[in-house]
Amino acid sequence: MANRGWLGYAVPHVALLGETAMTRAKALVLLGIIFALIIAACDDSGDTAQAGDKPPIKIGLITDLSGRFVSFGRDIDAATQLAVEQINANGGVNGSELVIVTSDTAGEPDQAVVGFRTLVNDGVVAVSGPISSGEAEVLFAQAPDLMVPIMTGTANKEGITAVGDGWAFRNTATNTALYAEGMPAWAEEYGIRTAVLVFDEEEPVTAAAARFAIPPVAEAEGIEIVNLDSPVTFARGQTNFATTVQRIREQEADGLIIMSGPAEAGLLARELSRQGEVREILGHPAQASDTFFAQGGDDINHWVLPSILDPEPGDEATRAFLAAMEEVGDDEPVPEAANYFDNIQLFASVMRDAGIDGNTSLDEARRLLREGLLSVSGFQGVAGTISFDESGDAMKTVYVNVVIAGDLQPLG
Amino acid sequence: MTQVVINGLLVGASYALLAIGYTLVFGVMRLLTLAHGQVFMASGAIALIAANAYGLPLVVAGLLAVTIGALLSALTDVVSFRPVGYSRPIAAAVSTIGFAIVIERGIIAIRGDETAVPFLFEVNTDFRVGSVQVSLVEVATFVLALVVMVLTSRFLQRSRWGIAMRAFSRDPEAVALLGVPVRRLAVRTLAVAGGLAGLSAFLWVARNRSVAPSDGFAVGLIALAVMTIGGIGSMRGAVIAGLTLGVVVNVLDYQGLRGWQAAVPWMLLLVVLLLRPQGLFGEADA
Repeated sequence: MANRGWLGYAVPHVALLGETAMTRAKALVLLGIIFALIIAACDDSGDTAQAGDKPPIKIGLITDLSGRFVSFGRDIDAATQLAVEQINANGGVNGSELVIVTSDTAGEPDQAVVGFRTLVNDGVVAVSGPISSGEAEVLFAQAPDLMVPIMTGTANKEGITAVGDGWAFRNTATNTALYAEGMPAWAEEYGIRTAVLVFDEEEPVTAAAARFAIPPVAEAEGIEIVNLDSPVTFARGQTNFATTVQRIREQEADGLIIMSGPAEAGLLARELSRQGEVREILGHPAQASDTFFAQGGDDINHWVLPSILDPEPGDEATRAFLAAMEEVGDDEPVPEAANYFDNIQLFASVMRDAGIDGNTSLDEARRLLREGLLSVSGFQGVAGTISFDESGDAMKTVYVNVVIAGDLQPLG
Repeated sequence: MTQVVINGLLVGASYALLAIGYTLVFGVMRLLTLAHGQVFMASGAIALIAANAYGLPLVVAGLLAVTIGALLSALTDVVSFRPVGYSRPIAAAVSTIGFAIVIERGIIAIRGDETAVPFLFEVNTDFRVGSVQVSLVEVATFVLALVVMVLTSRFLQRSRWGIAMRAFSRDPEAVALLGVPVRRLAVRTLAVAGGLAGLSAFLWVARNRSVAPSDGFAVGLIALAVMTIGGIGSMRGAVIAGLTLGVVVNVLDYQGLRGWQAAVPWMLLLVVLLLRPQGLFGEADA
């Protein structure tokens, strides 16, 4: 009998194999598959569970795949995927593969809130992120209610983990820690005793550093901020800095402290150079991205940027991480990408030790992971050793780098 | 303070150039294109993206910006004005908002993200006049704003097409009945406005070394205020209002009152419209 094709036309039936031969062949294949499955199920010769034997474990990633910090977000996403690939290639976590579920916030706290709740409802055991302090402040306050561990690798503002009640962690240095190392090193290198404070007042990431970290650190280090009462400010997204630089030039001081995002910092550097301003500059880690290097060109030479990553690491694991990241991307990753690689490795390590796998109930897995993270001490990551203090802040080593010919190098 | 005022005049020239395009379209067609800021941004961004990718010479990048501006602006007629009809100004203006969003998202899609496109040419055109530092690009923008104002006014007053444009602004139906190709007139008006936006964008990126997708909205909004303050349809008004706003905004920044910068154009607009509803140099029936 002829079949009817999808347009209703008659299609002649052509038997390439006899009906009986085909049925036998299918039956044999099916029997083979069943036999192989039985053998696999009975095989208890090895102790090592293979990734994929059990349901996967979901980890959330809250990052910026759009918006102003997209160059950070992309590197963070790549570092996270790299960590997951390595973990799964080595058997996953107690027989379960790790799966990353990503939420793009574009750097907006309201989108971060939606993303966090969506990830939690989607069954993630923990969340890595978000990028900015503004987002972290909001999400960390929600973590105890949602009972999900969350760990940023970039948010530097002081005190943001305090509201997390043990569910919120920060795997990076605070602004105060960054500048407690960075400012005296900069001052000593260039003989700075007085400085002009300049910042983007609409950018929460760096405005927090300018308002809450720079003044006390400067005071402690004996560096006078000459315009502390009336700092030079500008706006997020500003492109013409002629008048901003004019105001800067009217301030007498040894150096400039500039807190802003990467694009504004690059353009400001251009205008400073254009107007013949040559004083040494201390910047913020959030500036160290492709955008900054592209916008600033040669005019960002000698900018000093504190960082959590040694630009010339002696550690083999760190070098391997940087090499792997350069293979994935076109350029060197932002230093903080290393923190996000470590976040995933840390989650995996704690889950392994706690016996968490894909069959562990979500509530139990989240609780065990939180307890494990609270007791982490001396975990060796690619961005240094990680131990958390009582508020959930990692005590990180700070490196002080300087831009030389478009590259970050150790200062001094 | 002299430097601050000069900086303001030079920034204001960019606003003026863009506002001339706005006012040309509204003055001739009695239609408001709210995509003009995005045409400005896109022409600068596409020219820079192409220049950065293919190593185009600076002059070619500039010509590309003007061409893209003219084409995109002319497209406004095809996608927004013509389908809605020239006699429905509110629907046409709303339709251009949709076109503006499409342009902005298109640039973000081409760029791959929302970050600014950098200007990678290494050109130093700075010079000093006494204690005042200016760049050739800024001076060119300033001079062009004045030249364009004069030329556009003369073009509208004396050329055959200019007279047709002015007649069209008074009575489109009569002009159509007299055999003037109305559609071609509309497209040409938009193309000229877009070309000016492209030129303005190129000078903007040469001075500010970047253009971001969000610049279209930010700069376009200021130019809209400039057009209204100067008087809708008035080239002279657009230039004087643009330069004034540039100076006011810069002086505020210099005095540490940067927080008022965003509000001042609109406060000025309210004051001007209260005292003179047609704007500084607009006609009473505009």
